[in-house]
Amino acid sequence: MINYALKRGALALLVAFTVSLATFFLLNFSTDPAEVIAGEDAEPEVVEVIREQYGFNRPLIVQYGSWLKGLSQGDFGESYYWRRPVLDLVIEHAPVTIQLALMAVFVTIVVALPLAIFAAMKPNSIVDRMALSTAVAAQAIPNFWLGLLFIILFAVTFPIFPVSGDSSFAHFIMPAIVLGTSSVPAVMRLARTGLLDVLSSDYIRTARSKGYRGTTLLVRHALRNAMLPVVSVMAIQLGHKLGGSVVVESVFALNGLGRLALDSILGSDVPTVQMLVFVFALIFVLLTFLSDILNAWIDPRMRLR
Amino acid sequence: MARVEQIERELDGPDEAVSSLTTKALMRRRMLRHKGFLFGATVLFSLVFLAIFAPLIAPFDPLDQSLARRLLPPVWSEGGVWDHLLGTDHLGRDYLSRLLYGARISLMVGIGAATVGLLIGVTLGVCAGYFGGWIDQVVSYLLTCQLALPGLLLAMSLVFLIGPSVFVVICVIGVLHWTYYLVVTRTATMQIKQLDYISSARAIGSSNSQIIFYEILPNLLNQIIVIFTLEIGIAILAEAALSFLGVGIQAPTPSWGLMIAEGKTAMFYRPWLVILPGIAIFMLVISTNLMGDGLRDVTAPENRN
Amino acid sequence: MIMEADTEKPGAENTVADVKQNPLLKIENLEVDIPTANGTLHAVRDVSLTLNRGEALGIVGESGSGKSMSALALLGLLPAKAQRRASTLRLGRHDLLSMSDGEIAKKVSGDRITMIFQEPMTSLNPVYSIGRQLTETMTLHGKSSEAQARERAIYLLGKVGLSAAESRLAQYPHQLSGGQRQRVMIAMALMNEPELIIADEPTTALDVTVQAQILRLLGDLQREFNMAMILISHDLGVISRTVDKVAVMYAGQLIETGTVKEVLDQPRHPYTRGLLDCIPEPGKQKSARLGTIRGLVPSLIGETKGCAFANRCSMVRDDCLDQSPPLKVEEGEGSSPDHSSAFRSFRCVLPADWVSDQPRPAEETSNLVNLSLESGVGQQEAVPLIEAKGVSRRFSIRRSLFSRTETLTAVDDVSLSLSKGDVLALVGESGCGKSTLAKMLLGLDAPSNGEILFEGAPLSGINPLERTRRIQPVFQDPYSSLNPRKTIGEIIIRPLNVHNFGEVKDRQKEVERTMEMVGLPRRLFHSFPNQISGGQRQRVAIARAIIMRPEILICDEPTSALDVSVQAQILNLLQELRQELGLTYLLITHDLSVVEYMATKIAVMYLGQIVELAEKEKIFSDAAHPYTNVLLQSLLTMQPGQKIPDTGLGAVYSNPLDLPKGCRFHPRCPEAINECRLKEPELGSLYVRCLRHPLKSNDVTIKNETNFLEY
Repeated sequence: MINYALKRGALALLVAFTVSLATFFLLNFSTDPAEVIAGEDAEPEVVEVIREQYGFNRPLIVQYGSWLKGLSQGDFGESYYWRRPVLDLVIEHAPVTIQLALMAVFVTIVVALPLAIFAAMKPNSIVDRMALSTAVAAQAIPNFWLGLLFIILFAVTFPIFPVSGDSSFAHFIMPAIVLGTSSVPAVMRLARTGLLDVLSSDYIRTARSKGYRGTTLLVRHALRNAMLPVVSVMAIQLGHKLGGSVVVESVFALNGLGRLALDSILGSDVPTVQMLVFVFALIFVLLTFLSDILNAWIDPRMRLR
Repeated sequence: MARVEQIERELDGPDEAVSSLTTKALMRRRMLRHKGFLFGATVLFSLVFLAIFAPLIAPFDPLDQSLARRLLPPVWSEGGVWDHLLGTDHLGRDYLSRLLYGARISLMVGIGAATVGLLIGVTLGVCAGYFGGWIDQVVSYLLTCQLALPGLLLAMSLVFLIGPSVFVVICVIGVLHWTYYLVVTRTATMQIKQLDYISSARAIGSSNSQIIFYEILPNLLNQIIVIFTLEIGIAILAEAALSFLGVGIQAPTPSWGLMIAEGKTAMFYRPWLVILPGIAIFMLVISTNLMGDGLRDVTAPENRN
Repeated sequence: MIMEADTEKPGAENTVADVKQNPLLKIENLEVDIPTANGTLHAVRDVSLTLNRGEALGIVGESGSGKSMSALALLGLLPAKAQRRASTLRLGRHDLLSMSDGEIAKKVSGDRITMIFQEPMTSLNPVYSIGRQLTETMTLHGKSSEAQARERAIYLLGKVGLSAAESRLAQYPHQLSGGQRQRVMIAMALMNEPELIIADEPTTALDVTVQAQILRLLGDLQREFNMAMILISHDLGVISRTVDKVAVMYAGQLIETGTVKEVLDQPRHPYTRGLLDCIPEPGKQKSARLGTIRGLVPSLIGETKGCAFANRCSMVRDDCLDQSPPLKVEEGEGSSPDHSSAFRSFRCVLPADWVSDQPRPAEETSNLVNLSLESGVGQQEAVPLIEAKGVSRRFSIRRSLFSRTETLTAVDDVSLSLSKGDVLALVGESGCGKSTLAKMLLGLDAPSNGEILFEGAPLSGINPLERTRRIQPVFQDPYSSLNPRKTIGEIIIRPLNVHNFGEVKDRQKEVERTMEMVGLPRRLFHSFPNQISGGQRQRVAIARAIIMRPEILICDEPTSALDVSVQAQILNLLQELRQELGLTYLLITHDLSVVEYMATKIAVMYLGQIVELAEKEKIFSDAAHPYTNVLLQSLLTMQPGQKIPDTGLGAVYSNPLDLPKGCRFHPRCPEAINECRLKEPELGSLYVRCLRHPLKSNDVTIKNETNFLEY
């Protein structure tokens, strides 16, 4: 078990660094940071001096090496746009996004899982059909648009929640609902399918022949098995929530990492974008790592690996 | 005994055929009975028709500004005029015409990006599934890395830093959306590879490429079409989000996401500016999703759940 | 067999009088309908059965005959949409008809009636321990405390022959082998001391040797605990050895019932008779062809007219087509004295003794009377067609990116040869390496050691197209061996296209000729595989294999996925083709009755090695290796009343990744001596890999020598 955890952990770290390497190359191919720093209409000579000064004329792999070296010494680079250490920026903006993501995942769980269980217990019933159609519809709604509709409805027409900002808990409710709903269809479908698969399995037939029915059957024999894929997908969804908060933060004017990301992109601030992608990837692999461990705890078969 | 003799004659062959329907006939019958599929296909093809013939149908040039006729409401609201059925935007451009031209952008990006993703995902998936071994391990690692990338954030950065255009949007979204193809084709290829008809093909001397193109790909076709349809919807939503955030399609090109962003400033007193393009996106995406889900039901009813 | 249950268990709730008069289980006019997209499927039609306490009943039938449905209907375990009707459905004092599903679940299911299912690998919940799954059976019904349940679980695990019973409780299903899991399932079914145990194909997924052990165990326990048992099986051999009474099902109906002896020795229904004729029985088969049943099971959707079997019956008459024949009841050995549960019955218009008096149809229809089944005569001196010399195949297994590699030796030092006209049967349990060996002989895989020679030249040196033209495979599963998106014509013509044989027009003609040879109607040319039956699919696979006129066919379990009546057709076809095309077969199978019918030589494999190789007659009359003997004893031939022999086989399952020292078979061998643990036997000149064999053969030295001289 510990072996398994160590292996998964090592793989997760490897993935995070591969991702940072890929991002580094992609971003540096897309734009020339020297020109960005020099500003528009800068003389070519000035750009050349900047290139020399910042070391942009070195091969990319060497630049990546020094970025990594900095990382290992706690130096996360400096933003060209804000002229501040990137680390400070990230720490400053992280709490808003983390709170938003956690609340959104809570919304997803509370809506998707009960719906999935009801639907799977009675496949093809009215509840099931309704749940599936809602899922299809919800998947087709752009979430920035849903956010705007929420503002028009619940902040302006019926002023229940504040329009925008992040100063109180109430400010987070609408954004969390909008962000949370976006993963409801995927999680609901997956949980429903997983549960249906389990319910049609041979061991459930065995349990039924023993005299299990209804809720007892579900609780004592089906849920634990059906949990496996759901745990994995929830981890992935939480990761995507963090990365996907850009749109919602922009709509509701929350000053989180998403906002920081959008501003950095619009300011062509490569170090900040690079760092944000790395941080999000790191959080993502960490979450999937945790879900792997959790799954191994649930399923004895995985412990052997 | 005459009738008995007739039976004898009918039983000339060793045994009788089981079903009289061919696979294609069965599929056609199921398609015509599937309401979701019919609805999705009808809406999608009408929108495609409208997009193709937008220059003939649109009453105005979508870029023509008329400051005298700014922010007219749709015809059914108070102050609406018949000239501009769906009103005008903040620059006095005809909203119906812009919506019609916007459909072109959405469809182009949707189909284009889904095709780019298809080429990448299917190639990698079939190779990984068929050859296995180290190729499979490398592809699986690539997949893990791709999943760890914050997709939207990276797409925003790349599109904006490279320089936004329809072509760049298509390529970037496509390059970031191939995992679904990969996962499905890889698993399916691995399953098919185990089947005896692949062993038979090898035993009659077929080469690897003959096996992939003659035996495997025809069996993946249905699944690929289903994913393609669903990916169109995903790509359309991604483009809308990018354009909404100002890092995708740039003004004055009519893109639905951009139109929502432009309408946002006036949304409290002209909500139609936000609502109409949102409905357009919703209809287009839900029709592709319904068609995709419908195709899945029709081609592989056993995967329904 | 005494049918009155006078051995009533203490503590049961029935009065003595109750028991005397009423059978334990009474089913009358049971019907199960399943609504489908194409109409209502009548899965079970008018089934009536009675079963006394302590009695074992076998329900036999081909796939889709409704045998499982009838049993599932008792416990309300039918598919969600299925509807059940009956006029009586009674277990002891429980009227199952008037009870709700919840009541049945509470009072009957898992308590009075328990079930054992076919798939031991998937029938236990993978995420819970064995102990929990055993004890919950008792605690769920409020029978006992956790501690008492635990105690009983340990007792029963010992009873079903699992060693270290107490430590098993903490194990998970994936840590046990298939046979062990089925033992756990049996223990689970016994937890609540049920009155009736239903075993639905309990050994179909297991190896033959394990099958014999499990069935023996099941029979012993059934008698020891005095339970009634319903054994559902497609295998008449299994049925004949394990139960007292048998019911034959066809197309959802009971078509014949009686004691095992009555039904199998004196069948009253043409279908039962047909089934019996289909089975290749060692020693019984005199003619070269097996009997077959033509046609297919009729669709059970919608209303049917006349006898359900009429369209396939070789004794059909005009009136069979008009009305469904009534169930004729007669006095038989199994009938109870009060006549209320007369058990000898059949559903056919023909007089009682008519069917069993008919001559074997095989003798009249055989058009290959003088079929020679001898191995290639006079070819012994010449170079063998294909030969394996000391062939081994090892696989490196790595469970994940980081774990260290382990070596699995799938095939170890195998030597064998096939001469023209041979039918060499490769026999062994699953995982013994026979399919890996077949792959290497096909040239699809290369040996790690040793070499394979084709007509004396290394197989690896032969041009792949040339090789594939001369050696062709036929696989087990006709559902997966045909590409579902190609038509039958496209599938059969494919080899010619890949090899670019002749003119395109001629290829088409060749396909039609080959289709005729394998008995496929020409109209199926444009059909897709999903439109034809399993037997026809296997014919298509054979047509594809022979269209290039190969010399060797390697058949990997060619009939084990088929029903017996279809199996007989395919075996007949293979025999005919062998004559017509002069083919040589390597036949891989676990089914010794098929071997007896087809083979000229037999090679027995165990854990990658050949342990015995000899002429068929030698193996069947005088097998030398203990494992071969165990296999032969495990072969459950149809012998009503005869019990399953105790093979003495140990229940230790050797891990192929960690092979036992000494002789590989010693942990399970009934005859192992100390030496077997230490020394690995060689495959001697007599082709027997056993240390004890020389001792054995010494005893009969003289006889052997005379035999040798006679050669």
